[in-house]
Amino acid sequence: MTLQLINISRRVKRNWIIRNLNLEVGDGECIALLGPSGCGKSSTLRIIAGLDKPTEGQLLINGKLVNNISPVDRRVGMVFQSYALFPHLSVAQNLSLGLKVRGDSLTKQKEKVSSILSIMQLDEYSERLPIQLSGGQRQRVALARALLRDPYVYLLDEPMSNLDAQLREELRPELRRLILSGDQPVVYVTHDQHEAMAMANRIAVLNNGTLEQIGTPEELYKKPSSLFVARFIGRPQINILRSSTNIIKAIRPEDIQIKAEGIRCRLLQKEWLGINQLIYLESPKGHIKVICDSRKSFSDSIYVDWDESNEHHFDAYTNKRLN
Amino acid sequence: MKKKKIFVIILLTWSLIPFIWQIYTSFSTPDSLLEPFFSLKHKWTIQNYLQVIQADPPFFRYLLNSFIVGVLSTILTLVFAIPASYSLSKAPKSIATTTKLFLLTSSLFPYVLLFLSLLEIARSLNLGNSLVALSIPYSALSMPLALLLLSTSFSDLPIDIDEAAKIEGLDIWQRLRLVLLPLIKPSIASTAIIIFLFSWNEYPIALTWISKPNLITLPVAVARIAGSSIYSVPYGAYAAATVLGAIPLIIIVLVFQKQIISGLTQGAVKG
Amino acid sequence: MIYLLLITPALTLVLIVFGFPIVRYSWLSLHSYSVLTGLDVIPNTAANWVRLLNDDRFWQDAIQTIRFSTLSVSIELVLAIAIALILHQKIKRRGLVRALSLLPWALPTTIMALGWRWIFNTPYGPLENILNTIGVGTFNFLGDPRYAWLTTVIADVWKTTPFIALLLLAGLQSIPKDLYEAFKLEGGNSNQSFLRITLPLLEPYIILSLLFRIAQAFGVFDLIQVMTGGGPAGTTESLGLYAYLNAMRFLDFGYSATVMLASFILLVFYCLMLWILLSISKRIYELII
Repeated sequence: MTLQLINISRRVKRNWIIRNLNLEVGDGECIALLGPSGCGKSSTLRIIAGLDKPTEGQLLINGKLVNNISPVDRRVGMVFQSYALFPHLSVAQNLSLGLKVRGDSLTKQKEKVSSILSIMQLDEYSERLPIQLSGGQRQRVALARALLRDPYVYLLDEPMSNLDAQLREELRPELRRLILSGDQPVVYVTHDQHEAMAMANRIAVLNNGTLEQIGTPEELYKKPSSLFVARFIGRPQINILRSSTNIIKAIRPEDIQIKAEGIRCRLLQKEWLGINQLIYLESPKGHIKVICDSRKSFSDSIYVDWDESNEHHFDAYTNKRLN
Repeated sequence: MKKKKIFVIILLTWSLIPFIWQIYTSFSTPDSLLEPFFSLKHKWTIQNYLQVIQADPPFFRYLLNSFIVGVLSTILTLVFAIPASYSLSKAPKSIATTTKLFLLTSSLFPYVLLFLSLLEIARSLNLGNSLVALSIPYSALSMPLALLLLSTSFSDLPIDIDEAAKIEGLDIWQRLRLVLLPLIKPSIASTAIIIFLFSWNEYPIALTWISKPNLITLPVAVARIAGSSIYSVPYGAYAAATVLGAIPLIIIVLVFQKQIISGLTQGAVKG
Repeated sequence: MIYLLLITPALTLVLIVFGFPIVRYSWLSLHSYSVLTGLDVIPNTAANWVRLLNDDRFWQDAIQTIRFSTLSVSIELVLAIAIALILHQKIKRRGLVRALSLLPWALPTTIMALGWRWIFNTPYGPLENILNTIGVGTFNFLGDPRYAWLTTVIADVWKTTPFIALLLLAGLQSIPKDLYEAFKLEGGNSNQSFLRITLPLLEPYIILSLLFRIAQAFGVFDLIQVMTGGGPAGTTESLGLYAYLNAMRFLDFGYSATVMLASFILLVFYCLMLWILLSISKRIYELII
């Protein structure tokens, strides 16, 4: 099963929310849409679901043009950020409502619901209302509903952003097992790069409605195609070096080594992070951050150096990658 | 603390004393009403009630008529208003605002000024003397408020809910019936009660549309009693009529006060 | 598209009932259409309007309607603010108190108008009865042109004050409590907090109830027809009642339509004046406090 976005654009009044977006999600592939808020990632998801109409472009599911197919008939499984569970229905009713309107018999509905409930370990909650569930349980019900849709495409809109950090980590393997192991394409919207890297085969970075770069997490990290991607991917953020030419040079904190001699810097601050530490330095090329072994201790003067092949070069006007 | 209590008592006394006076009157014999206030010759009777109940047509007929019109107009209004207000809540903002402004102006309109045109319509379409037909203008007159109230509660629902239902494959009627209406039930209830009260109480249109004595509604019946007797004195029977006419509404208000108040205040706040 | 389909019937109904009459009245007001013309509709250019301008009864009714609306709505608003402030505090059996104070509004106007007519009855009504007993003498409330219109004001105030109070109460409840606490920490006392926080934030509610009530009071009909029939000497007759009488008693539909249209124009004019007055007094208020 596949999903294709060809030159998709969406305009609301005079603003282009999305501009000429091309995206292809293959069989069983998970693509994360990553970007700051307002970059168009949720709009893209809504266009795929059919909730918003593209102004231009074509949307294909399994090679079939679906631009004019309503969300009712589009057969996508979507997990909303808010979960969007029907507040007046019990867990079991939430799950069987769709089955009912899609014409399953009563016995079949019961069968499917009880099997999904046991897969999700929700059996004992089937009669509860959404309001009586914890955040993690609600999220699982929302997932279960999407699974029962038996969709051509899975769409996940910040599915974990309402959960606390620990729960997120616990849910990731479950999400992978249930949704990412199938052969449906998955589009996963998030603003959290760690989550994107953990879940997705490829990441599409969006900025101002346009696609900045798409690639594996490693490609994005190692060869960011623009300054925007370089700054967006990787934490702590990449160091931008002061330069007098039209080339912007940048170096990742982890690519800088502390040496006995090299560029002389003054230590400003330290953050101890457990396995390593983050030090803030004032160098002749501006403030830089360096990640190093947490056991090291420093005097006020520190010498650093790096391999020039690790530098990322960008055009100062277009911000595009040069090297 | 004390001051507040006294104030509440004054408020309630002021609101209730005319009723209490009506009840007192309705149980008094005609002669004792002609006596000075503190006379000891006061006599109680239920004769006034018997007179009202045994009249032709019996008083309950009017209550029944008002009830029929009230229920019909409520149903009619909701049938039109629910899908319409759902659409209104989905309309682009500029259109929705204009429409709501138009509706608000309409709901403020002193509708008594409309009676002549409505009467002409009734005559040309032969709608006079029919309780079913009477519910049509009632429902049109209640429509602006109903649309405002219901579209507000539709807009207050999280949009995700509706969209999740779409993705689940529910068409518009299934979404309304299975998902959205159950969620706005409270506001449907308050809208329904307010429409019912309006229709139950409406006077000028009922007065001009209905002339058959056995079809007139309660407010018209009461006004007729009043009109037939501007200068006659024994009020006992009229008081009995007003008490009987008030009882159903008193029950409604006591039972549904929460819905009535939330409907009224929502109309004010969001309108 | 389906949305348009769903909304059209309801809006059409509203348009027919509220829009059509205005058009129809405009047209009728330029025609003779009465029992005298044998119920034929005959163009008469502006004869209805000329008649209206010289119709003392119309102008008397217009003044009465404006007088009635202004006085009753003013009293209602002031009382309602006071009641809302009281009800806003924690009171016992709040639901019951609210329901009981709502009763006057919920009952059919004709029923309560009949009740008030009996209360103001001369000489057997309770009021005259008490006044006689304590030796104040007879007032002849409903028969004396000086008092009759005031009795209708009292009845109207009785009927609608609780309703406005409830609307304003909702407004009060929408004001966050921490505003008052913050103001108190700034050193404000409770009078100041009423003038500087409560009133300004309540303003939209007050304006809305004002508009709503003015429009309703302008169309007063049931109350007058049942309580006084427009008398004595036509002093309580409202524009609505006059239009009704023209159509249903004198069977002069052309003129009735003219009266209604004129009433509507007067109402718009009145609201406009009110709006100007309100914005001026708001300015002054802001300057003073």
